[in-house]
Amino acid sequence: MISCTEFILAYNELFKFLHKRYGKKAVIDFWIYISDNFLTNLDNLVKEKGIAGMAEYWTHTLTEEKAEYCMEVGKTHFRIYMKKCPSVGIMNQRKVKKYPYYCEHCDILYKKIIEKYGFDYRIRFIDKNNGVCEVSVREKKY
Amino acid sequence: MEEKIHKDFHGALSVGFEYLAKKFGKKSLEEFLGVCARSIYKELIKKIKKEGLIAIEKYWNEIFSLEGAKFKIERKKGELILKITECPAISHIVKVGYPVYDDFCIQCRVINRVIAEETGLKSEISSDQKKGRCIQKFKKEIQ
Repeated sequence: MISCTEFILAYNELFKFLHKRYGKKAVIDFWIYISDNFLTNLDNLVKEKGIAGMAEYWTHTLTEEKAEYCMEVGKTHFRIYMKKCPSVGIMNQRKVKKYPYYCEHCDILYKKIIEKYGFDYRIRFIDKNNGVCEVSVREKKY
Repeated sequence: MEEKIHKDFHGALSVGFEYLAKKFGKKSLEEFLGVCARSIYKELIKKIKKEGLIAIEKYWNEIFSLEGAKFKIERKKGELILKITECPAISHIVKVGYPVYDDFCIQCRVINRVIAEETGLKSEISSDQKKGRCIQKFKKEIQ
């Protein structure tokens, strides 16, 4: 059984495998598939609770993943400043070759869900090698 | 006490298997698992070559304890047997309500086969995915 402590390594291999065999589009299609078929818990939380749902989702996942981060939760905005991404940390620690577009999955996976409910989702990659980034969500003004 | 780990990853992996098999065929999934095994278990393979079956026993104890599995390991002459009565991956996926890929157990079959090939051992698995139970064996080729 691939343990959940080995999952990041397996996913990184899956991205590399898909890209090598079928091209980058296959990797992006896979991320879209994951967003539609796996992240239904995030979808339900954002649909029901909006920003509070985002805070609930990421507090749970980032705590379990032992991430180092700061979270800001406002009435119309939500922000995560990732100081040490746990996925990047695991790959650096195990000295594995990271899929060059690895960090992009956090854009595709979450943007698709969050923007569906009237928010603007942006991710800024500050240091991909060390897993530093910033996710900003704002309520769209109409 | 069971350490807090992000068990939802098992669900994401299951969706990944389903995607590969559905879109590119089961052969592609098998090939991916082979590549994955050689990469992720590189260090374990080295340890098995050096220490023998004890390295697998240590690894099994470590991950299945961490995951809170119901399991038992038996040692016989030249043989190591793992009996899982509640697979932590399957039980979590079912509990949370994620879909379980219909051949989720393929991961253990392919990974154990690759580990055996790389270390000169023999591997055997019998599993009942619906019940989340399996018996995994590693044996020395020549006894």
